[in-house]
Amino acid sequence: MLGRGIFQAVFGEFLPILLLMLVAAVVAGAMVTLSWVLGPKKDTPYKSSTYECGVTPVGNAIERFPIKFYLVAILFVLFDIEVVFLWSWITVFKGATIQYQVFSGVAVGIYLVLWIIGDAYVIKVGALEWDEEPQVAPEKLLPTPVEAPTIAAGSHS
Amino acid sequence: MNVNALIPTVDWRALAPFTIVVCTGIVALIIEMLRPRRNNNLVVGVSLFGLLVAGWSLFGMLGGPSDESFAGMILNDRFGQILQLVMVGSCAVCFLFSEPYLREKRIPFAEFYPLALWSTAGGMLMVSSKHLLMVFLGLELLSISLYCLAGMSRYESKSEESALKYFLLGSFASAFLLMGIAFIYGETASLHLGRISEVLGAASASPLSTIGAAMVLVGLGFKLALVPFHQWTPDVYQGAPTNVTAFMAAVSKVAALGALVRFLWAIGTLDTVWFPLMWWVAVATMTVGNLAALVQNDVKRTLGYSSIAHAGYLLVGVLAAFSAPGRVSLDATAFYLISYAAMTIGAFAVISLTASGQHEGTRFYDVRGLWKRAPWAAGCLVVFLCSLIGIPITSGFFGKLLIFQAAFDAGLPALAVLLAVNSAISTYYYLGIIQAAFVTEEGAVAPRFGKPSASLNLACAVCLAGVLGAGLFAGPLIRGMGTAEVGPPVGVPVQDPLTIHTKNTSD
Amino acid sequence: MTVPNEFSTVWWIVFLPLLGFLFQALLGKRLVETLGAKFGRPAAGAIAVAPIGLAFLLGADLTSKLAQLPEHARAAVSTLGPWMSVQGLQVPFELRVDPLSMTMVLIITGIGALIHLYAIGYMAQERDFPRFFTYLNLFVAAMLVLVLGNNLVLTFVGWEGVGVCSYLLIGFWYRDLANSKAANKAFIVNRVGDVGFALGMFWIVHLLSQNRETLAVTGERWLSYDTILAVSPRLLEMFPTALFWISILLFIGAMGKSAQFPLYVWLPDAMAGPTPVSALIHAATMVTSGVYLLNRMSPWIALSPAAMGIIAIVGAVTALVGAAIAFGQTDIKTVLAYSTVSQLGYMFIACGVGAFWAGMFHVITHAFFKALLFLGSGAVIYAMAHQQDMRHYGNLRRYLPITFATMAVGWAAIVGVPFLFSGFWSKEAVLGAAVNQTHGATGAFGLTAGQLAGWVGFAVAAMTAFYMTRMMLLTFGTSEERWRDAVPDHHAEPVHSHEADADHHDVEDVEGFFFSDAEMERASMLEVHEEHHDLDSHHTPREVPWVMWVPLVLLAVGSLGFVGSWLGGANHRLEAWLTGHAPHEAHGPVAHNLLIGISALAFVSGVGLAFWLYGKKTPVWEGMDDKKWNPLQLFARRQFGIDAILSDGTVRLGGIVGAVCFALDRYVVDGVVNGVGVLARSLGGAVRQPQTGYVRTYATLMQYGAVALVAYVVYRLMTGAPQ
Repeated sequence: MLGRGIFQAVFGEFLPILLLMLVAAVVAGAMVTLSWVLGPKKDTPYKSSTYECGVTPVGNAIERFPIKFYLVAILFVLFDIEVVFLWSWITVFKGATIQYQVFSGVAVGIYLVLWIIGDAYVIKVGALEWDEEPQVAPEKLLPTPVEAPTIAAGSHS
Repeated sequence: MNVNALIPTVDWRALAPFTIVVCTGIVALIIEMLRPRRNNNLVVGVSLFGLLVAGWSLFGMLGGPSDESFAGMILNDRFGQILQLVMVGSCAVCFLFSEPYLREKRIPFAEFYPLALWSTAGGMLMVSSKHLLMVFLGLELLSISLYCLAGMSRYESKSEESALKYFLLGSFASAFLLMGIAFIYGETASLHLGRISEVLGAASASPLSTIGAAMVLVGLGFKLALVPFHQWTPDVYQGAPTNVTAFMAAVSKVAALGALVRFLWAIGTLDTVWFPLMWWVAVATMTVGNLAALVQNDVKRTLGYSSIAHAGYLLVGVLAAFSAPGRVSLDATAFYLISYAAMTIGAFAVISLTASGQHEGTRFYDVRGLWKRAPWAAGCLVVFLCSLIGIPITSGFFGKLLIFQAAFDAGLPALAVLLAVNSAISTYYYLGIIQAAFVTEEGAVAPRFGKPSASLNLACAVCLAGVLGAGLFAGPLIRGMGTAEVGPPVGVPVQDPLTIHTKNTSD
Repeated sequence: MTVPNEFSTVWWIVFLPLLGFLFQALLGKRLVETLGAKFGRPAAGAIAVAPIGLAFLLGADLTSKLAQLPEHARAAVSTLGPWMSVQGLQVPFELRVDPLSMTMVLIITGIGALIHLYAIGYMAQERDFPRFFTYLNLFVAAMLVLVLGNNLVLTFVGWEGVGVCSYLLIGFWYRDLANSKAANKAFIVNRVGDVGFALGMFWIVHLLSQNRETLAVTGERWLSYDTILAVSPRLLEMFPTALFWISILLFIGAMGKSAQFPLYVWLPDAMAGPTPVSALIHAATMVTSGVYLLNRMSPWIALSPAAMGIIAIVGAVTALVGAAIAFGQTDIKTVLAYSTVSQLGYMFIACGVGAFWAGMFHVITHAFFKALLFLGSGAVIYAMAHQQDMRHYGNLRRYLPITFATMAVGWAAIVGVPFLFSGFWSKEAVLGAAVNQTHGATGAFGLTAGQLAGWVGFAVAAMTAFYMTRMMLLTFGTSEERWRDAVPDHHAEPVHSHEADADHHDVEDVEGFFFSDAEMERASMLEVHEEHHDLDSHHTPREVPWVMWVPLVLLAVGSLGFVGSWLGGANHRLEAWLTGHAPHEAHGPVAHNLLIGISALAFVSGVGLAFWLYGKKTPVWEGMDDKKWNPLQLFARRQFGIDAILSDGTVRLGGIVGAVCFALDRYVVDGVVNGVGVLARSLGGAVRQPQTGYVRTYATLMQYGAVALVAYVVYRLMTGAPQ
């Protein structure tokens, strides 16, 4: 009684929805838990192997893949954001006064110049070249050291 | 919709230092892009020149009145200018010893310079705005650049580890910060600290604003490495390349402290809620930092813990200034920041000598005999560590003295006593570093050190001049800084674009 | 206060040693290289002595000028300019010329110059010759700032400065890990005292800055000694408790520097430094700065009888413990170190009973005779191939006549041979003032704390007579030449000179700078400093060169009785000079002649007993075999375990606390986070690796921290009801 009153006070008209969510959570949780608890677990190598269209799986699923995917993805996200910026700006730009158009035009112009410099940098360091090792220019790499110094010969771990 | 209301006053002069630093970074990047020569001397030269110009323009503004421009986004006041000067100077000193270090460690990453410049710019933005969005923007600019820099030594797994840890935990902290800002916005319908202060002052404290404030404190506390948000510090400090560590220790701490001060002042009316909290945080930060440093055996790690302890000392100064407005000013804290930046960067600069031909060991064992190899640098190291301990004549002593007195005068004697006891404890591990640098020289297989270059010696000299000069001329320096007040700008109506905007759309 | 022009030369007293320091630091090495070791080293040494000597002359000149002023006006301040002038804190650079500071200046520069001279000979074989004098000159400059500074902050600057120099000089032979450890110990124990000093100082600053209107202190110089001492009676009315605690805090600072019980533990270890350093810093000057501080603050401290009683009792305990430990020492320098501790106790007894001038009197005479004894022991050590163990000495009076004669004067002074030697006069002044204390904090047995301390002092005088005589007899007495049957030490290879490079084998430093046993053992194997050649049966001790014995003779002259009787005899010159008023004849419960009788009795009994035991031949229980030692003396030799408990205990405790803190930070909370997993794995018998540094752990901890923070503010919000 008292409990209901508090719930009513706190959640108001959303109480039924909350109850529905609770019921759903309990039912779903019960289904998963019960099947995990009650179900027989007979582990065979074949059973625990990865299902791969009926073909015997090859290699490990957790393996490293080229970071270039990541690099390209992140550059894509940046372009995306740029478009979002420009889009919202252009909608306001259309109906604005001339002062605002000049002001915001300059601001966005600065932004775009920075953007282009960034692009140039990306291209220059070869971040988009798929086959090449994207890295700094070879001139920058100093000749490799003669040998790594043997520090404290053996006593140093 | 009247969008013309959105055209803010543009004060390029107020923004000049920030713009100069950013543009220097861009120019440095373009140079690096166009002529990738074997050495980065041009990049370093341009960067240093840009920092010099930025510092000069900041210096020129020091006397001026404080005002806000860009629709309340940019605040131009004395406190911010002083902190910006400290950051610009710190960045420049880091650049001085970075080039030999990068070469010695074979890190072909001239992007260090532009990234560090942008990071500095982010820090400058953090302390020169009372707008939470700007603070957040500055914080991210500072942090993201630092994440890249921490992982700059790509063939060292500890550097990568450091970058990843810093990034993951940093974004976690940023999430807290953003959430807190959102809560506060929900309560006050503004992101401007002046306006927030007004709204919070008018109404009684609500759960929304207090929880929001606590979350913002979590985010800023992370950057400042306050206990209990400090765990990342030793790991990141140890793993990152030494020049980046030096940069991180100085610039990011100054920026975070500036933002924290502005934020605490803005939520001043909630002080019954947060003051005891920050009191305990200060106690814990000083104590945990010092005690944990006692058992370290890596110099960079020890200095990492020591930087935690110093954040605690700084917080004591901030709390003292807050609790006795008018009587106790932020001078002590600002002075301590300057001396802290000088002595920390100096210490890391000397430690960067342990890099020799791609290898770098920074354990106590690895700095043996530094005294014989690089007497000037080792001598400077002794002075920097004396300053960190708080031996008189060095600025570290006067910084502690001023904070100590501020705490006493503000009626926080317990904090003052804890500070004194902690600084006595810290003697132990600083002496350990000195001992390591001096003792057991000329073994058959001594560690190898890089040859101390002229620019590193210069960096040491600059820090030495800072440490000793600030100590000897403490009075004139503090008077030159003036009372670093962080009160709201007088006579400037608070413009808040977002409040206006919400009003417009609801019309 | 006006600034008389004639006293502004006082700045040069500080600048001269500073210039010497700069010269040695910048050009000393080059000079030695240019002229070659043979001529360069004496040249560099002479240049190091010169500024100290000049400063002494300057000090003497100022003192005579000061003496010409009327008694009540004997104080002058010379200001160089403002130093710190910020909100609530104004500190100018200002030096104070008054009887107290000039007395200290004369001791520091006078004895300092002699010891510098001696060091030219003593350190002649040293490769790092200029570095030694760099530190030594810097030390003198810092010490002068300490005694001349006219405010607590400037005194503190000197205070820490001498601490740093002492640290550098104890660890002068830094290749030796043990020296380095001794230096660290000295510095850290001193820092414990410094916390007391700093807290006391800030409390004073705070009290004054909060009550400037009430106390009517204005202007730039409101933290100067003249101001704070003048307002102390007023402060006593306002804050009696604060005054007591400030006195105690300042006393804690004095305890650290002046090696009072229980903070004395660093001083014996500090003997690891070169002997001139022990003589200058750890006998004559730096360790007396605590006495100086109490003297300087005497109007303030005298207001608090309880604090005075504590000072007297601590002084008495220090005197007793130091003397008792000295009974069992075999290292000649360690005996002298403990006797220094014990004598410093006397000075504190004097301060504790209100006879501050008597404390200074003992500072003066002690500076002479203890510097003499240390330098003499240095001459012995020098002659005996740097063997410091007295069990290898004996019959040295035959070989080292000058050293013997001068050290005998020092001995006579410290054991208090009546009338003829200076030590008698100052000890008499201290103990006479103590037992005749008329009113003071209550002690026990119906005596005041001061009287109690005084009687303990007489007992200590007898003990001093015994252990000093023992030291002299073991070194110079008997006809046994014990080094002749000395087996070369456990150094497998004789090490030839300082110049030799040690062949260091690297040891992994798994324990950071908590040195492992293995490292310590290795370090003791490599003790190469001061070893020219090993002592063997063919060794013939030779008298030291003139640069070394001339200072000995001069110091011996200074330790003679006429100095004591001139300063402190019937005409009470020193008391009048320091206190600024004619002394009043005090009549206490114990008559003057009786006191002299008791002193003589103490002296005769101690010396007699020692001659009886050690006069003919060394007793068997003092041999090289620890098992034959009599247990009491062995216990004393091991310092009654005090050092082990205090310093090792503290270091270990600090290590443990630090480790626990670190572990809490890392392992425990990590354990909580992974608690279930740990349990499972340990049940499964798997050994859990102490994995730390997981980013997920940090994130979890951060989250806990954030939750705690938010929970706390909500709690405050609910209960604190702000606004």
